Parts: sequence; C-alpha cells; structure tokens
Amino acid sequence: MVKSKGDVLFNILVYVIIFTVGLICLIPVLFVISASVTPYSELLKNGGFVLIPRKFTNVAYVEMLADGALSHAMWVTVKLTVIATALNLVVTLMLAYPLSRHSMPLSGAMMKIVMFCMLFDAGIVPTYLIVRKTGLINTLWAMIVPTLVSAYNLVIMKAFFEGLPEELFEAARIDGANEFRILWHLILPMALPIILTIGMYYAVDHWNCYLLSIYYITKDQLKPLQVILRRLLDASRNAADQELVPTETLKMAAVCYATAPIIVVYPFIQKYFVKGTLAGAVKG
Amino acid sequence: MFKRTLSLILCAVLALCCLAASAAAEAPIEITVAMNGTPTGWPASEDENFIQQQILEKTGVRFVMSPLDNYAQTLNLLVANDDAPDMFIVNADTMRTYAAQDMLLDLTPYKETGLKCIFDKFGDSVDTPYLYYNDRMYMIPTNDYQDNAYYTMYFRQDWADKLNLQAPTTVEGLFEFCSAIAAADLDQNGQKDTIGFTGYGLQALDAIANAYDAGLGNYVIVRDNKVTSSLLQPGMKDALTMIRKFFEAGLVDPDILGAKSEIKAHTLSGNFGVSVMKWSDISKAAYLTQAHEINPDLVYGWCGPMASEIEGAESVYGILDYNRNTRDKYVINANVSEEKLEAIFKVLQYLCTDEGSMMVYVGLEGDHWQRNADNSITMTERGKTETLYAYKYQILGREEAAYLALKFPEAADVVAYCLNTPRYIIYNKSVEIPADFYLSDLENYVNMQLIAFVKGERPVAEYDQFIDELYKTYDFQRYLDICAEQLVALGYAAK
Repeated sequence: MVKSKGDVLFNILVYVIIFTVGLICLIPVLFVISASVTPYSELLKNGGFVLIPRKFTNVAYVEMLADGALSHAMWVTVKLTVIATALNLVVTLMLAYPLSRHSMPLSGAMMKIVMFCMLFDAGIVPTYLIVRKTGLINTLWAMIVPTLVSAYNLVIMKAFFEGLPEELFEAARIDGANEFRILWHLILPMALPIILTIGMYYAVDHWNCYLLSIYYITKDQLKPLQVILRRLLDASRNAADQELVPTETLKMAAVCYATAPIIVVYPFIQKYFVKGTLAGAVKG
Repeated sequence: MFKRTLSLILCAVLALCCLAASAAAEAPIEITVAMNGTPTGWPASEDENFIQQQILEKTGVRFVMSPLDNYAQTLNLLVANDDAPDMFIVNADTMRTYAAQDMLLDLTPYKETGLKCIFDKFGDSVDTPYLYYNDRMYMIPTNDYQDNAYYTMYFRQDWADKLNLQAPTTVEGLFEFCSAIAAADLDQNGQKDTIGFTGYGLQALDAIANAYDAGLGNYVIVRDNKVTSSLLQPGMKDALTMIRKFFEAGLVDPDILGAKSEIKAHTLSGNFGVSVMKWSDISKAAYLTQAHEINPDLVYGWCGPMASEIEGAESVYGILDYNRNTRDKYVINANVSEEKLEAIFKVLQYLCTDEGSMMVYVGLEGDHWQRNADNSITMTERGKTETLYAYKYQILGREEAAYLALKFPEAADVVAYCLNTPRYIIYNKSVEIPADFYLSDLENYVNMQLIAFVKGERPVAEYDQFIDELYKTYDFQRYLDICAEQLVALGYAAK
C-alpha cells in the first residue's frame, strides 16, 4: 500500500509527540539518577538541579549502604514481595479457575460476593480490628493476609480462563485427565502470560507496600523499604532540630536503590503484558 | 512413694509460681509513647537507645518511644481502635477533638503534684491557654521555641568587603547593596547570574515590609492597644511599592516563591546578595562545610532589621507569634492506670532535673560530653554520633539559648543575633476561629493577591480595592471582631 504524503506527515507528527512525551516522562528519572551520582557541592552550584552529571561520585551510595536500616528494609521488602506474590498467585488461581467453569455450583453467587468486595470496602477501622484480633499485628503476615486476593486481578484472570475453548477441556477429559491434571498440565502452561502479568501487578503492590506497614507494623525491624525511604525523604522537615540532614544526593540514591529492582525486572515481564491483560477481553 | 513424689512436684510448681510472680513484680512498668517522625540516627534496637536505658536506670520505668509513620492518620486509627499508646504528641486541634470525646486524661488536678516540676523549672509562663480545652488542661506544658525566630538576613561578608560595602541598615540601603552585588559578577563567570535578593517565599519579603510596619500575610497585630491587621497598616502600599522596585530591577530570585530546597541551594552556593534564611539551614557545621567546598573564601555575614520607615516605630524584622508555646505537645491517654500515670510523672520529673535536661540536650556526661574548666562542655566523638536523636526526648521543651549554645557552638554568633533581633509580633495563634468562619479561604485569597501585587500582576493602585474585596467577600470585619474580642479577653489589647 502506498502511503500518501499526508499519512507520512501525520506519522511524523505522531512520532514527534510520542518522543516528546517520552522525554518529558524521562526527565524526572534522569534527574534522580544524575543527582544521586553528582557531588553535592556540584548539585548546589547548579541550583539543586542536574540532568547530565559533569562530575561523578559514589559517595551517596556508599553512605546509604553503610546505614544498615535501608539494607535491612530491602531484605524485608524482598521477603514480603516473594512470599506474598507467590501466595497471591496460588489463591487467585485457585479461585479464578473454578469460578470460570460455569458447571461449578453456586459460581454465580460466589462471583457476586467477589464483585461486592471489589465495589465496597469495609474501611480502615474494621480491617484493623480484624488484623489485631487475629494476632497479625507486628508480623509480616499483617502485610500479606489482608491483601491475599485482589478482586480486580481475580476478574482479569477469570476472564482469561473463560476465553479458553471448551473443546480443550473436553479433549482432556476424554483422554482421562482429572480436574487437577487439567489445571496443572493443560491450563497453567497456557496461562503463563496472565500469571506473569497478574504476578507483576501483585509484586509491584507489595514492593510499594506502605500503608499496611504503617498501620500494622510498629517494630522497625519489620518495616519495609518504602517506609524507611519515606522517613529519609521527610527528614529535612525537622531540619531545625537535626544536626545532620540527609543531602539531596543521598535521598536520590535511596530512591534509585528502591526502584532499581522493579525497573530491572519490568522489561522481562513486559512482553507478556498485552497478551495477559487483553486475554479474554474479546470473545466469540 | 507416689504421694511423696506428688507432694514434691506440687512444692516445686508452687516455688516456681512464686518465683515467676516475684519476677513479674520486679518487671519495670512500661510506658508507650508515640512520636511524630523518625530522627536521623534513631537506634535500631531499644538496647542501643542510651536515653531509654538511662531513664530505666534512674526511674525504673521502661519509657518506650516509637516513631509512628504517617503520624496523624496512624494515630487516628489507633485511637479509633482503642489501641492508642499511653502518651502521644498532638497539635491543639487534635487535642480538642480527642478531649471532646473523653479520650485524653484531664491533667488539671496534677498541676500541683505530678506536673509541678515543669512549672518550677520553666515558670508559670508555660501555663498558656493553648494547653486547655473547656477549662481543663490536657497537654503537658512545654517551654517552646519558635523556629521563626531563626530567620536572619544573610549576605556574603567576603563580597561586601571586596566592594567596600557596609551591611545594609535601611530599605534603600538594602536595595543599593543587592544591586551592587548583582551587578559586580564577583564569581567571575562572565554571566549576570548573581541573585540580588532571595529567601523562603513571601515571608522573605517581610524583611522589607516590616520596615513599613506592614507584613505580607494575614497577620493579627496590636497597635495603640487596638487589634488590627498588618494588611490595614498605612505603610502597606509603600511596602508593596518598594518590593516592586526590587522586582522591577531584577534583583529578586525568580525562584523565591518556589521550592525551599532550591532557595537553600542558591544560598549555600554563595551566588547571592542578601538571603533571608533560617540560621539552622545555613550555619550548622555540615552546611558550612558544603558551602566552603563550593567557595573556599565564603564568609557569611548577617544583618537586619532595616530601620523603620515609620516615624516613631520600632525597627523590627521577621514574624514572630506572641504566643510562643504553640508547638505540638504530648497528651496522656485517658485509659492509663494510676500506676502508669505515676510512672509517667516520675519520668517527667527526671527530665526536669539538670541531669535529665542535659541528657536530652547533649547526652550523658563522660560518655557524650565532658565539662571543661571554664564550665563549657566539649562533645566526645561518641557524643557527636550517638546523640543525634536526643532532641526527640525534649518532651518538656528546652531552654532555647542554653541548648543552642551547647549543641551548635559553630553557629553561636548568628544564633545570638537571631535571638536578639526585635521581631514583628503577631497574635494569630492566640485566636480560636469558630468552625463557621472559613479562615483558610481568606488566607489563600490574601496570599494569592499579595503575590500578584509583588510580582506586578496587579497594580499597587488597586490595593484599596483588594481590601474592599476582603470585607465584602471574605467577611474580614467579622474576622477582625473575633480576633479583637478574644485578644481583649486575654488582656493583649483594650476594647
């Protein structure tokens, strides 16, 4: 197909807009990275703003890692993310799969309960009371159990399973496979994109866990990374009292430290995203 | 045989129970305290917290302070769940809310007993209306400081010397001084990038406005024994005109209304004429080191107030509230037992002693500091690193001048200058605004319009019209009446 001059111009315009928007999104990220590797005096000289560092230093990173609090918080967050995401996926899968099978008795009623949870929230106080009464306060489980299933993610996963052709199940049953075998050997391999996508949603949520930990965790040893990071960023509020206030470079190094793992993992999972989220969206 | 064995076992169980009971009886009573924010250097474990250990040793009370993140929200959650700590820090609004719901202990009966040590130490002046709700005292009195008293006008003494300039003493002199520095290119980079005048927001420009007995904000003041507003002062238009002169000459930092971190960066990088800053943001050892890394020759000087342009008026600079005891304060949970209350008072009494005060200022003698022959003190190496969080335990406030002299000897000169600077006294914090008056709407509009005036977006000639708008749209007269009524009742003004 031959493209008209107008089409070419239109495409160029679209590319320019996308490139510009991309660049605008990139500037804050670039600033954070540049500020973290620039000597603080150099940063001050430039009015606190550097995009392309002219001098490099790793002082902020050395200083940051020397403070055990951040490293410990990173360990807590990694533990939390791995355990919680694994449990999330197991529970979501075990709920989404049967709900997608219309032959299951009461699946409609159960789905209504799920939808109710998605639309209405009990609020902070009742949730806190339950967490306290179940003895989860000041344990890692307080950040895992209350968010074990996300109704939204459940609906996406259920839609994916509903999109699978019924003939697949029938063929498996004719070959003698039971329900567990069908799920394990047939469905799971096909569901990899949706599992990775939903897993990424869950993992990012747990990585950024902040509110749950400030409500339910008072022990510093159990505080995840985002809480410690926030403390660091907020430290200058009490500058009048404090002798040492973390410099901007140190704060930016901490931000890089906290975001780097997700940024590294994201591209590997990204290719499954479109496949995963659109799965089940179009049927027929 | 069986009976003998059984009786032996029973005896052993009984003995163990007695032992356990006596151990429990000896366990120190624990007081949980929620503090707002986590200071730098906060110890990872209770064992490393020398202040907690010292309080335990001296009073037998395990006084456990814990930082609450996202403080206001988390505290509300804990209080709503009847899970609040024994003591926690609040502002006056929160205190009133909780007190109205009977969640706080009324401290009035303890003024002559458990809390007497505080009045003995700081005097009756700390017993302010701010502590009360419905004539009952709920907040533990403190001897506060106001960090507004930390503001001063910094300039580069080394640059002033190079140009043979004296520190400015009048508003015109300030204009000349800033103009000379901005024009001189003393950093020799061949660019006209030296900022004439900078500082934190509108408040910085009060350095000029105060010389006209005016202020850039909704400040309640008392003049000739009558309550009025800084906005109604006759000098306000002259002040705005003078500020416009600074803007029109291109002397004012274009970022002056922007982020504080940028303004601070401008001042620490030394490329400015006059900067209105808190000494605590510039003159602490860590910041001075950073500033000298950029400009090894940099020497800061400070000046102000500018001489009053109003005949007979005192030369003042910087806004300071008359009611100085308005920082957040600790309150006690209404559900604490008598035993716990006694323990809390024991801790407060220890903090009132000289030893307790010094501990929350600079740590422990011998470990963290040593007294010299001339009665001054020298911090030890441990003191420099281990006492960073001690200020969080200043739950009774502090004797400001003494504390700052001990803690920040490198800033002694500028601290003394700031503390002795005559200030523009306002009374805003002594007025309780009724719920049906929307003060924030009024203040937002005032700030917005003052910014428009100083930036030239609205001509100063329209100032009277602006005041009319305040009366007509924002019920300014009612606001002034509320202020007058309350301040007269407090004895700060006459009818």
